[in-house]
Amino acid sequence: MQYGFVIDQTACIGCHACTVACKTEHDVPLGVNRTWVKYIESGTWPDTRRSFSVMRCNHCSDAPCVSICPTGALFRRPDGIVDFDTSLCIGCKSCMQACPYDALYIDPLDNTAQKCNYCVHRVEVGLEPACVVVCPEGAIISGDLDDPTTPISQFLRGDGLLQRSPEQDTMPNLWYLGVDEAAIDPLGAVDPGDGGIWRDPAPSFMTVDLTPPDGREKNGRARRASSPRKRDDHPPRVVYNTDHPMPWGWRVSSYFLTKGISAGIVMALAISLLFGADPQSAFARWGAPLIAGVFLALTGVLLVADLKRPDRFYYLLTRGNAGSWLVKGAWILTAQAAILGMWFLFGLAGAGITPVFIWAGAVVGAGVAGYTAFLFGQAEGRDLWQSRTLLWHMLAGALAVGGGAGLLSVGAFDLDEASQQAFTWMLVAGAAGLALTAAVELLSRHPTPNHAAGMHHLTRGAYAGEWWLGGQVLGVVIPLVLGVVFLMGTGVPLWVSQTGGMAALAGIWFSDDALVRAGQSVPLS
Amino acid sequence: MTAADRPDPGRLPRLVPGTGLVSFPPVDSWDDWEEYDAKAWPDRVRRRYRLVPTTCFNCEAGCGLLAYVDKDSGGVRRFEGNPEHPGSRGRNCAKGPATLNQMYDPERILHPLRRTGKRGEGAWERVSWEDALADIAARIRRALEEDRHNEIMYHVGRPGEDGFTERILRSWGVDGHNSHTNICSSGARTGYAMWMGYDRPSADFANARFILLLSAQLESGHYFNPHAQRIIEARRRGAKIATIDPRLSNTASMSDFWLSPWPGTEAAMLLAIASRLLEWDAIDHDFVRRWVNWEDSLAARAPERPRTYRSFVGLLRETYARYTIEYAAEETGVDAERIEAVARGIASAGTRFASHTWRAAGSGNLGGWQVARCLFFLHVLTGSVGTEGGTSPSAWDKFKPEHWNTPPPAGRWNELIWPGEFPLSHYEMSYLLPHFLKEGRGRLEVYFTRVYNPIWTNPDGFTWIEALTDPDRVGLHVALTPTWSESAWFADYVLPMGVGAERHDTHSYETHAARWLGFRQPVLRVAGEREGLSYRRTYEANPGEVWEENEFWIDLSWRIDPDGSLGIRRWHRSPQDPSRPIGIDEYYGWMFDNSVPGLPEKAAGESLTPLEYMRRYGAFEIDRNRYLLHEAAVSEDQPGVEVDGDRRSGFTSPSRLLEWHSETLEEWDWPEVAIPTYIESHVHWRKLDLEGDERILLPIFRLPTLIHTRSGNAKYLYEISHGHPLWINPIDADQLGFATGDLIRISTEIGYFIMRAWRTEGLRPGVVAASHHMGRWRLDPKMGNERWSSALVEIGRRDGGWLLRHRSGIEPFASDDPDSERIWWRDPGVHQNLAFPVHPDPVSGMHAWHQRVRLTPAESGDRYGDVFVDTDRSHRIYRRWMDRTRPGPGPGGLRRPRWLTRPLPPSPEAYLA
Repeated sequence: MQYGFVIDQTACIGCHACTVACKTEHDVPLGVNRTWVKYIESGTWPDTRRSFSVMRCNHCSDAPCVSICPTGALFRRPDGIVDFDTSLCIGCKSCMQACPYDALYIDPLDNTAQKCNYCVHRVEVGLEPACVVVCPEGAIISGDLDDPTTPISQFLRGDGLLQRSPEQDTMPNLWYLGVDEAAIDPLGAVDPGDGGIWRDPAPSFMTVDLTPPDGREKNGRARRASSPRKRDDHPPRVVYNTDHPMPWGWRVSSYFLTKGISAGIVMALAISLLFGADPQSAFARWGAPLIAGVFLALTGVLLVADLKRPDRFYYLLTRGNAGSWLVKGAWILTAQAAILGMWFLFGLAGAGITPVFIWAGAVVGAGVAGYTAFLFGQAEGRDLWQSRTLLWHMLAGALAVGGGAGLLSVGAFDLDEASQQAFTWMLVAGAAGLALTAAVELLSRHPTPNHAAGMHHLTRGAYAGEWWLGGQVLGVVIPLVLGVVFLMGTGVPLWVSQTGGMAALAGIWFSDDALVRAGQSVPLS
Repeated sequence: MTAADRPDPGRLPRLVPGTGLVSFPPVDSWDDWEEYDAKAWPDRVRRRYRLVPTTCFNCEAGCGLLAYVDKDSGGVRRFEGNPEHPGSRGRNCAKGPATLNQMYDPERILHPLRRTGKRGEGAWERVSWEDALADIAARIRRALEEDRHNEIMYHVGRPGEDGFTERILRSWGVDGHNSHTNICSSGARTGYAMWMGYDRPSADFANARFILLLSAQLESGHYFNPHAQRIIEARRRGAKIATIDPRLSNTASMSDFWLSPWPGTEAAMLLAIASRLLEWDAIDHDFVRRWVNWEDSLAARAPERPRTYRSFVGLLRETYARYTIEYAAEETGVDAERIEAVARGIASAGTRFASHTWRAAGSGNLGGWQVARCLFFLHVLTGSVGTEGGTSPSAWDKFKPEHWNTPPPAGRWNELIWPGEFPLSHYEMSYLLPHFLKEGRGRLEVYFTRVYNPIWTNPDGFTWIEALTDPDRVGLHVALTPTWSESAWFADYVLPMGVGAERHDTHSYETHAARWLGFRQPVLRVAGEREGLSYRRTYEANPGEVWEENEFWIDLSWRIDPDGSLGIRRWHRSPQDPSRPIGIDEYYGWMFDNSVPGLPEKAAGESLTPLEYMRRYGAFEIDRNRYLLHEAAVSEDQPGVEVDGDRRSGFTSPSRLLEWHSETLEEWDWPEVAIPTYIESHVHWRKLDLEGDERILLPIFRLPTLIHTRSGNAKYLYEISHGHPLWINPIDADQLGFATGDLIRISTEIGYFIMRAWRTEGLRPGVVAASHHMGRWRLDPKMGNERWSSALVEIGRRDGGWLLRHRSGIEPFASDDPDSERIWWRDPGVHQNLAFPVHPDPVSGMHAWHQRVRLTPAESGDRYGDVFVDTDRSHRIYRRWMDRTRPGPGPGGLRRPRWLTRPLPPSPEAYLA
């Protein structure tokens, strides 16, 4: 038993009836859609074509949104429909990162994730979904794919069927018949972002005041005349689509840094012990767990603040889906909080068992730093985040910011030479690790077009400045150089190394922010 | 535990076992249908509905709807299609379900309003229906008593009904029916009428092998959804589709052949195809010999030739020999091979060739009426007239029921509507009204606009504003409308009328080769009455005090003639109780009992009265597979024509044959266009300065999601489509230096407007285009038009003309609907029609919409959305076009040929000038 859709694009006339029927059926607010129709235009006059594709949830057999959903708010029913329960949703938006089809949105009234649920409230009484019923052309076919007698099964035995993003291996249960491939390939047509055929363009053309002296310059006569368009170089372009804003922004980028500091400072302390630092210093007894704890708490605050339903944050623990790395991450963060708490209390009390906490904290800290790589790995829609180097990037980043944060703690805790040496070594090693992962990423073949597009945005496109200047120069080159100078030179003042540490802290934020945004900047629909 | 796992107390039963799915609840469950609440899901919250069929009132297709009336809240939860409707068959376009938005629009007018300040000033007070009726009735009564009948005018945009209002006007004895046809379909109507009398085609798309479309029938045609279903059905069976349209519509894109000609050259292409068919002898000679007026044609065009059919075919070949494919390619700018391929497709389809044109080229160009005439020529030659898979006269597939107690036609002729200059017009010269008033041809005492927005929709809207704000020209303007509009703002009364689900109407359209009758009904009233409630009038059940016109007209007529002395009241008395006006159930009960063949029997089969049957099903199919009706044998006393010795029904042209040469056109002073021919358009490309900045503007294409100016109240539709760019081919854009988003000043003969450019390959170079829905405006921040879709503007005088300027675009607003604060679009579009002068075609009366425009960069001080117009210039252009006319009276001293249809025909004597 598996419900699915066939969308017959040889019959679809692009009329948007499905969109409106869906909206009235589910009372879907303005600004978001459970289904919509995309238009692309290809070719040159008089051989131009406009192609349509109906977009929506693919009801995947291996649904990444279900895997990543931390609370089981998204679930696959025995009949194959991927349904959701808004009463369980915490609004973490991870499903929007996991879905390779742009199917989910946050409902602006309820602040929970929603999508096409195959009108399951109708299906349970034996009625077709609303979009199927309304379609003038019968171009949306619903039914049980496993039942060989259904009309949809007949369609599936024919030719000319395509699916969206098959490389994601989600086993979607939606097929397109006779679709223009460029219309279902999110990168198959360029989106000029000009509103196209009948939508608002983004910029404020309506308020452009053409009063002199710059009026003439604004209308592009001179600008365009010198660069005539090449008519043969004319790829398909998007002329109608819906907006899909980035779900994650600065809070997530910042959370990378805060948990990196929290994990890194413990790791830094642990490594300094190997360099002969005093395991019973104030720093080791209560300073490090205090700093790590504060940044861990900040991490928690950022995470909860990023939830669209922060009131439900505890569902992560009380209703956790063990398969979701969001939940595993919550466990790791909780475990680390417990370790740091006990360490701090024991340390204040002057107990002699601190090294146990240090090493436990360092090991769990590596988890704190690194688990996000697995969470991002579950974000199937963001191929850039699927990179194999991401875990090493995270760990290297934690080393660098841990070293940096340690160096900045030297004054406050009057830390010894061994600590300074150890922290600087960590800074240098972390920065080197970051350089290495970046190099590997830059030099390797990108497994998917989505990944390649993400890399392009990251290193050559919209985020190149942030990534190169912020991430690589500030976050890697400067810490590396200053750290090496400090280690190799004699009598080099501490502030040199500390400056490198500060650069690392700032640089890694830029680097990760660029990574977070570039990953989401690749269109999925 | 998820909600899906929660125990639930007894699930609802499935309609079908296993995993099967059906489209609709069965009819026998419509009075008590239970299903789960979509919003509460996955909690299985049950909701009980009563399902009431009605009819969509957005476009003219009249598709069936099924209202889900919630038994607990009493409101409508949603609209789906009506599976019992023969035209739409349970399916809808986007506008069908959006009826819900229109019904629960927070911006809608809920009570009758009366102007308190000066006209157009925007001061309103709420009045009772009683007071409004009394005032309007008294005005009308005085005019009738003083024999000023021609000062009463009813001007309708979308009728959505068939014959009800005409009956009312007859009872008043006025020739006061004005329509929108001359800004819509007069061109095509004239072209068809001159062939066969019937003024519209009914294409049997579903059974065709080759389909030729001249409008965007797959997204916005006259019968959009019913036609689109059947065109695609044919395509799935292997039919080929060709679309002639300078612009890439969705329809063109779905076609096997897109022919993108110079606007106005379409007839040349069609004649080249005809010429090819003649050359190949792909002619159905038996059909042409039997059904074309070849003897009269020979006598008129080549009297020297022998009166034989062979000689007629020879005449045809010679007449069209100059329309070679090469000539057509040069003239139209379309590849010869493409035209040739379409000709071959038509030739091979034989009698299974279907086509349709409605607006498009026929409505854009001077002489556009010949496009339909040349198109139908192809059917005549191939014998695909009235055949299965061919194209029939509209009336064969349309059913007009009789109305109760119909008064005789009026004996008056209204020159403000049917002026002598346009004896052949199809129909009323509606958009010239303000110019006629300006010239002092008459005045109006009471002017009803009904679902009609003349200021916005017509060309030259500022001249309309001048007329409507002058109390000497218009005494009382009553706007009957479901929503605010630009024109309602300039009314004296704004009377809210129901949307599709809030009113009674009957209608029938030629959607396919069958006849059906649809019944629109106010779903809340019907549902309430089934619950045992009773209503005196429909506005008691509708939201607020939104009324329906049927009851309004009856009550108004009742009050015009309080003592029966004017002879009006007798037409409106209840047959059961003459002391009160007739009720809706009585009216339609009579119609369904007495004038719909087969309905009483069908109803009796289900133990229902005919009215109960129509209330339950919303539609009735009278018969189907109606082909070759012209061949029907008729008796001597019936209208008919002798063909090969037998008397046949034929067509409704004067000769009852298909008229290649139209004697009417010849007699009424148009001999040079009496046969299918090509008339050069007023925007012909050779007249343009294409090396410079002159281009052709196509301002009349529709979007699949909107309907004229009546869908600005549907948030879901406007969310999909709201932007209003000027389409421009990159070749032109490069030549003129326009990037996408640049502001362009588009200058017409009477002014200019400012739009933004959108470069697209979906348009012929040399042509620019902008859809005709956007550019809505209001003068008050909070009322006067839908804030979902209108700009706040100011209108003032500048440089000897009018200037409309945007003060702000579309913005979110607070209302009972939380969505109004989430409006994310800002572009209200540009009201381009304001800057178009009137262009009346001298034969059809059609306004030729296409414009010669100059495209220049916006100038200093120009703002997006600006429209500037000099109405003195527009009046001069009006006069220049009036000079092209050839006024009547014609043969026999007639104002108009009697055989040409009129929506509200007067008595035969009234035709005498």
